[in-house]
Amino acid sequence: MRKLGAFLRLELKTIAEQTTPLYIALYLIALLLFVLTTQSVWMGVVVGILSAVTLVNYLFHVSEKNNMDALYPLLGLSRKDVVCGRCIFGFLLTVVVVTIVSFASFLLVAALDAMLPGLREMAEIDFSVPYASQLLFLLTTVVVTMGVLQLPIYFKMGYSRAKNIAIIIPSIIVLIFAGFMGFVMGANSVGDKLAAVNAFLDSPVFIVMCIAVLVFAALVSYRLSLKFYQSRDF
Amino acid sequence: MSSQSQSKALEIRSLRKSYEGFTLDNISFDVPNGYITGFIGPNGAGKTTTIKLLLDIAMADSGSVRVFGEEKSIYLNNQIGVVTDEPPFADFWSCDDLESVLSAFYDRWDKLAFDSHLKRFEIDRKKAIKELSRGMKVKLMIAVALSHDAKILVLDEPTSGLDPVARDEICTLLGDFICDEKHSVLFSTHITSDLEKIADYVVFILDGRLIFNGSKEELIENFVHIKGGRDELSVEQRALVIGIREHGTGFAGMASISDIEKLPNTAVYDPITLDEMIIYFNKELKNNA
Repeated sequence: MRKLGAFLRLELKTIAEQTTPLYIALYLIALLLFVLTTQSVWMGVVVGILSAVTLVNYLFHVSEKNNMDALYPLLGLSRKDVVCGRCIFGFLLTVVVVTIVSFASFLLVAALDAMLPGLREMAEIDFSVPYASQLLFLLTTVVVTMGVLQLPIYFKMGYSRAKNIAIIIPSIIVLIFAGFMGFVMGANSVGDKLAAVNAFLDSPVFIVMCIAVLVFAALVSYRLSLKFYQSRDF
Repeated sequence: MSSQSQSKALEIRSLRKSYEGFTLDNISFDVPNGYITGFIGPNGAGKTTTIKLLLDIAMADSGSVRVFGEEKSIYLNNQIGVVTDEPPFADFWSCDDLESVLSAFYDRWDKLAFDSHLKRFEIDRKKAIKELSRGMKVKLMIAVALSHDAKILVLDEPTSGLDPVARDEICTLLGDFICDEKHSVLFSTHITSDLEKIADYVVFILDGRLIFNGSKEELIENFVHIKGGRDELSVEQRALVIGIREHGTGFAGMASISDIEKLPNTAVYDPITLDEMIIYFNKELKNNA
């Protein structure tokens, strides 16, 4: 447990260059402009997911650039410790970033609505607790699925060789996700479609499906990443 | 643990690793406790590969490593301090960042010692690693190794590209490190003049194979530099000269002391340096290829 804590700290320090107050301020300005342009909480959430994925990618970039894969064994970390630690760190980072950005987007859209009423789509979205939890499930599933598909590629090929392949995967997933959300939003004007989607999102089948996908995705990602990373030399 | 094992900081046995176009073949040697062992060979001989295998940075196909008599696991790496030409730390970290990261991993991290080494080496704590000179980076890695109470220091080409003053400082540091006879150094370099000053033992590898493992004196005393005129050597004698080079007026090469009686006494015999030894062994390898 102590070693995991130490490794998470190392990972956090590795991306520290991207988490300075200046970068965070710039990021929030960019987010504000994005939300202002799109007037949608959902687009803010999508940006949050992409940001988290970018930060995890950046972690691989910094560690490869500085040959830090050679540092981990010197610190007594086995390949398994590294893969396990990075999966946990990636997951925690993603959850934290998505939560913060979603909340910030919500506040920005709400503020926009107060200042410029009628501009945004927010009024049509019911932000009740059950709806928020459904979204959380859906978001988490999307985020972990990205991790599942990206992490093993990075562990196998390293950042430089994997970045072009790996960037396609989140793009596809985000497009599918955005398309799905667009469908839900579009269905708003067609009462029966929205009702059907809402009924599915409300059903236990959806929650069980999300959990099953999460567990399966996490296991597959971990096993593949470990297999690939164990066979690499640095 | 036997006292014999304790007298060996590292025991490397039958280490093997194959890459496309290169094989590190069955390397076995010891790093005696309380001494500096030089690890020499030309570029591409397998020195860095051996060190990587030793530290689990690369995975060996076969072989074993023991640390103070104990079968090596990755968890024993905290007894080993590593110094490379480029530190494997995020280059934007300052020494403060580095300490906050590393101290969480090492049980015996000594904050005061780290501070004192940084002061001794005149390294600014607030400076980013990328702003340090090469010599300073090497000293920073030595400071780290000394601050987590490493018993063994493994150095992989730390002095390449450094000026003679910085190299001399590092050699002095290594001498200080082993003076209590409880610490050991494995020092890989192709700047053999550094080793001639400080090494007690030498491990010499060439093209992935072990050529020599023993005391520096034994190695230097076992070979001589030989020079002679044209047609001075018979075919049989020529075969005894290692890395022979022939030119317009004669030949030059290296000979084993045990073969001197079989070689012409008209030839000139001089003591040989480690540098010349590497050159002649390498030439011999190419001559036989």
